[in-house]
Amino acid sequence: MCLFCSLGCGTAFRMRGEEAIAIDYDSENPINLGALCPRGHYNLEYLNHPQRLTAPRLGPRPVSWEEAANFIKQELNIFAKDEFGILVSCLTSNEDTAAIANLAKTLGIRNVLSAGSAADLEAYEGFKWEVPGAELATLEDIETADALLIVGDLLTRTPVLSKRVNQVKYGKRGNKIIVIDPNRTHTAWFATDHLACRPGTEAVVLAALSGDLPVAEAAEVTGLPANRLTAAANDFKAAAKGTVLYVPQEGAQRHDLGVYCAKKIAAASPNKKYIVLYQFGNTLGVNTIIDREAPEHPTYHDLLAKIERNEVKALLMFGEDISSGHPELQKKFRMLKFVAFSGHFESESPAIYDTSVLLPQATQMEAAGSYRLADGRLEKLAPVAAPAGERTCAEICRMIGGNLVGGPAAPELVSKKKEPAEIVAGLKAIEPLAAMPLEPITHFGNDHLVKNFFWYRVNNG
Amino acid sequence: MAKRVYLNLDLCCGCRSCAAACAYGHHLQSLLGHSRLKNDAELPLHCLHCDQPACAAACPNEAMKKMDDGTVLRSQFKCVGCRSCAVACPFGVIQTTLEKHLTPKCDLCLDRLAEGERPRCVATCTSGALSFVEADEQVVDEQKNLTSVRMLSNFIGRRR
Repeated sequence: MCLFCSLGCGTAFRMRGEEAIAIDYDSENPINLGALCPRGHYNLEYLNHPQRLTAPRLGPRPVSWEEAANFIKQELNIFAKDEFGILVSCLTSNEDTAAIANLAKTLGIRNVLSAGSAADLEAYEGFKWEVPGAELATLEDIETADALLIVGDLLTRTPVLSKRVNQVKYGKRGNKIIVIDPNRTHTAWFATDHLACRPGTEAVVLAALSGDLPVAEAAEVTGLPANRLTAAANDFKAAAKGTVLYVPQEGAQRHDLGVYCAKKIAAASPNKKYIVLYQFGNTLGVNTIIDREAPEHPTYHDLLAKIERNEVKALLMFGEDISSGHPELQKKFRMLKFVAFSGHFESESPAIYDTSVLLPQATQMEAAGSYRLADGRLEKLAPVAAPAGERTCAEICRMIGGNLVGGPAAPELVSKKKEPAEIVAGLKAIEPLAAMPLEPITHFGNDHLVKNFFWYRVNNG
Repeated sequence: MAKRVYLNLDLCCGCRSCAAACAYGHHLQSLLGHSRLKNDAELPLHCLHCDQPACAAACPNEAMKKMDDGTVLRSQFKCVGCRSCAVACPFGVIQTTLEKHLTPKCDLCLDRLAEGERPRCVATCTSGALSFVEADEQVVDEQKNLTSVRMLSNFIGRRR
């Protein structure tokens, strides 16, 4: 199974002995019918990458597992418990996350949090807010819908859904696909109604559709005419069956409010459901487990602020190094006194190289585990290949913190209550990131040619 | 008649997974061309395996050859990477980027065909736009007027 987005497509490998040598297409998988997006093809490279870690390292020096474990235990005694932070990658399986949460409990560390993309974590906050009557959509709900309300660039995040989107577009006359995105994206090619709002105001458009904000007020902020907003709301409400697809994209948007409004739209009329498509495979599973095991954990931004104020001095990272490729984060991570990184690749953390212990961890394809995907289904994954010297995340936790017993690995999804007044206040504070010109964009480089084109002259006088 | 790869432009979402599959199947050399039609579509350009291939006629070293089953193949050993075929191709499907001094040229994934499977680009297509079928009249007609309903409606709809 591929975990590079939260759809969970089936993948297959051609094997030579115990080594995967080529990607194969699993045409009997009900999720993707053999289709794979470009990211899905990276699974093979991920597994066989020449820079995979195979032995533990102390800075540049390779060491034995015992030496590395002793070094970490020694450091654990030096720092106070509140000076430690634990970051869990959102590709970690439910069982491994439970083991990490247990490790934190036995060590007394309270700063445990998931390290997905910031947009995902914000969207998950909105996902937790309780809206009575809102249901998670399954993939069948998407292909049998009469109306889709898509927020963000769905077909770039999850191209495998394009078969299902095509079924809605060409399946029946009168089907609606409403796309909310400031850019003319690949998803917008398929839209019957493309609401190109000002950047950063997607949540306001959704609030206008759900009735949280008056349409006139939303029209002013988003730059869309009020009649298009009401028409889109009525279209979606009138459809016999509909699905809201929310894609949390990188950028300064309020994804928590957006997801909350998407849930409200789904709950407002019968036969409507919603789904949030996260960037990392197990965002739902990892976050629910951490919320249950460590209810008082700080948010991602809180932890970064703590690192900057020098309150957190040591960091344990599981799964992936979030600072790789982010120079600003690397600058912050250089202030840390000690970093232990349990991951897959050796060149991933150039910024924290001198003070770090690197532990090779088995990838999601080399260890068994269960994952909770975007539509709420729980998938169990059997190992594809045998690890070459790596250990699984649970084994590494056991090594650092002694014997641990985990709780139930996959808890039910929890929900929180939120005051409506607080949400309206949040929505009113949203401002567009840039004032876009609202003239029709011609989409042709040669303006002279376009303006002499008869169709342009017919429409624009 | 032999099976060929056909494209339905209405369904294609421009994700380029066909190009990725092609690259991973052919030693990281993508044999597929790609085109972008302004802001309305992004589509793969497949080798049509012509009846009278211009690329074979242009090749100075007889590296391109039309086989008995109709596929136009390029010899690994004879190809010198002069890119004459890329210039000669009337459809622009042969790319000019060289890898290991070889011009990229679609071979219809002969290794997979031998196993009775579809070519990689068709097997991986996320939107169902690519199909590997025998060319009957309907398919040929659709290909002849390769107009996309989706693109036309977008084009007209945008001018308010």
